[in-house]
Amino acid sequence: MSGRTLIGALALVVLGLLAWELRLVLLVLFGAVVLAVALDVPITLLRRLLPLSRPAALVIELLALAVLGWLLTALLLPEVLEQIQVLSQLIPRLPARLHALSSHIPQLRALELQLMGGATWDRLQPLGGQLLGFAGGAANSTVQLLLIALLAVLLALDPRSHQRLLLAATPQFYRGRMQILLNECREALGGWLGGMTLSALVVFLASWAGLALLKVPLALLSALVCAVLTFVPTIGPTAATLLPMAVALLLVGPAKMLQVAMLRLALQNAEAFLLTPVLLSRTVNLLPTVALMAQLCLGALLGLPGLLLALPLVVVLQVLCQEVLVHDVMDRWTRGDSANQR
Amino acid sequence: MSFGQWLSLIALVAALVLAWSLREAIMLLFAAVVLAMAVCTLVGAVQRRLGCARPLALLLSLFAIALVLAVGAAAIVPPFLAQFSELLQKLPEAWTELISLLHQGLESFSRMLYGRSDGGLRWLQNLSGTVRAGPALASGVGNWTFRLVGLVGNVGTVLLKTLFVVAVALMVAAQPIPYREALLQLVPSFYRRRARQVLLQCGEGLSAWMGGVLISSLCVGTLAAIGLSLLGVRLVAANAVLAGVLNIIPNVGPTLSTLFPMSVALLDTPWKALAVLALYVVVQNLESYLITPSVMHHQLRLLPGLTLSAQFFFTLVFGPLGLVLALPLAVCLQVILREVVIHDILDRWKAVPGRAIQPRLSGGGER
Repeated sequence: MSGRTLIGALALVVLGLLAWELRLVLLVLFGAVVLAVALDVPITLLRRLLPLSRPAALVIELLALAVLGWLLTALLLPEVLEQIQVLSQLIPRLPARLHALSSHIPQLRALELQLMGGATWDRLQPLGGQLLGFAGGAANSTVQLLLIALLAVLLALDPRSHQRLLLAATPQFYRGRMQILLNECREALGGWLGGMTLSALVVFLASWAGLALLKVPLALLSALVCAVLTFVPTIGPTAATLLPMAVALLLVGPAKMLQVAMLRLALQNAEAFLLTPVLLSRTVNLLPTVALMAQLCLGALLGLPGLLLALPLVVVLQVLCQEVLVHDVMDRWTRGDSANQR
Repeated sequence: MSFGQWLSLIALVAALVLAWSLREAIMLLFAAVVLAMAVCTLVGAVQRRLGCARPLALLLSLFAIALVLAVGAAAIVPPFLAQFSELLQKLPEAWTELISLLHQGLESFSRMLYGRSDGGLRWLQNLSGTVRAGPALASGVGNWTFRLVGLVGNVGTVLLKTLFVVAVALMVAAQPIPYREALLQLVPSFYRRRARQVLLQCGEGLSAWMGGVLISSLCVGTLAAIGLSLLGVRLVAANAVLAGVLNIIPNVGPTLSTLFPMSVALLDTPWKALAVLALYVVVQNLESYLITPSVMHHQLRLLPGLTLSAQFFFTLVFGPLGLVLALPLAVCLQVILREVVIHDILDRWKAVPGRAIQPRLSGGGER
């Protein structure tokens, strides 16, 4: 064993520990990469159709996004403001309403009494501290989101040179392979994002139509939230259902809430078991449990950001595993000449 | 050592650390695989019996499982719940009964010893009095609100985990072959054929174990029900179901399942509690020396000491879920140890002519 290999091994260990310590930063970086790929897909399409330079295409795309966002805000804001006013009048009456609901069920009443007994000032005091922490966390995540957006724009502006940087950091004998790997990761991520965008669009339209037919207030906003949260499978749609259900319960009544829940349940299952597999089967070949397992494991390892980014991460990890671990290591691992295996 | 070897060593250590920190998720995955294996066994049996395609067989067996669960729930759950709540209400009574019995016994003992009622054993009675005050104090002092919130959170977590396990099990059971092939891709190419054999053997071992446990649990439940109804102990259905379900966990489960009927019987007459204890001991011995040996495949029979140490070990490493899954884990580990470690590594180790290891560990033959 020469000193050189020892130093290399030590450097590797130190790098690994450093990466573990900085895992949240790396996760932010990965989020930026995902967003950059999301920006890059329409840019590529645009450049194929029109003879544009990359910055011009990016500017056009960002402008289109801004216009779309402005349109949506203009559509949504009056209704949201109105509903918020209604809600702010309603919220003081909320405990009374819940009380009226719970008095129908005798078992709930005892629970409520106990809960009310527990809600004295001493118990609420830590809540203030929690609220402050929450505000700090919100500011922190806003900064992180801004950072992600900025990084994504920078990455989308000039992906080639960033790719070259990554290529220069690999050993000479592996550079050709690395190029292929990067391209495949990009393809897989792009395919996943495209499929999910389509499915989110379908969910958005269907939710909007269904909620509007049920005459639930804030239908457009609820549908938008549902569509955005479609990108986080299994957990996202369930969380997204809470908003229209709460709105229906507070503004209309429990019967409407049940209808909304049934509509969302049907839509969610149709999306998860019919639409997404069909849309993704061409580009990303993920086994269904892999997504679930990845969410569980990454959520346990990295917390909420890991949970949110679990699916894109697992798409990339699957490509890397398939190509590096299976194709380059395991497939070539024949019987060693020293070991006398069967 | 070359750099490549260093790289693989570091990767191995990192993978092991990662697996250790994710051991709960891995345990959940294993539970799902065991459940999926059960469904697959049923599907295979249906397929062979009816000669239909796999999707149809899967649908049929899922339907059958749902039907059995629904009928069982409809038939057993309402009386079970009623009996169980009665049981829970009666537990404190049984406790006071036990304490007063103890008092009487001590009194008669001291009378025998000293000839008077207030003998020298008074301090022991006082001691048992403080013991009686203990649990009442603990239950009274506890902050109910916080305990309730914690309980709700725990129930939610458990429910979520159960849902996860069931969902993964159904997905794996729907198409088991792609998962097996994906797993085999992660094995070095020279070992893939052998790894497939080992995996298949693990699956066979698991399904054989599950069949055996199902039969022995049914037997234990039936025997307990017959014995309890002969003894005239109330709450027969609840106790029989409890005995059958807890029979899945060896050693610990049967002991736990004895507590409830004994406390119920104690309320009626004290001698009945002893009779129940004797009944359960007899049933347990019947189960472990007559039913299980005749039902279980002989290669699956684990030595009692091995079972107990496996339970201890897996509980220590994986928590309560490890205790429940200790036996399936032990079955799989036994196959892997026998096939991979002993057969492929130790048997081929030329420098050591230790051939005598194999017959000792390969099965439970010398039981």
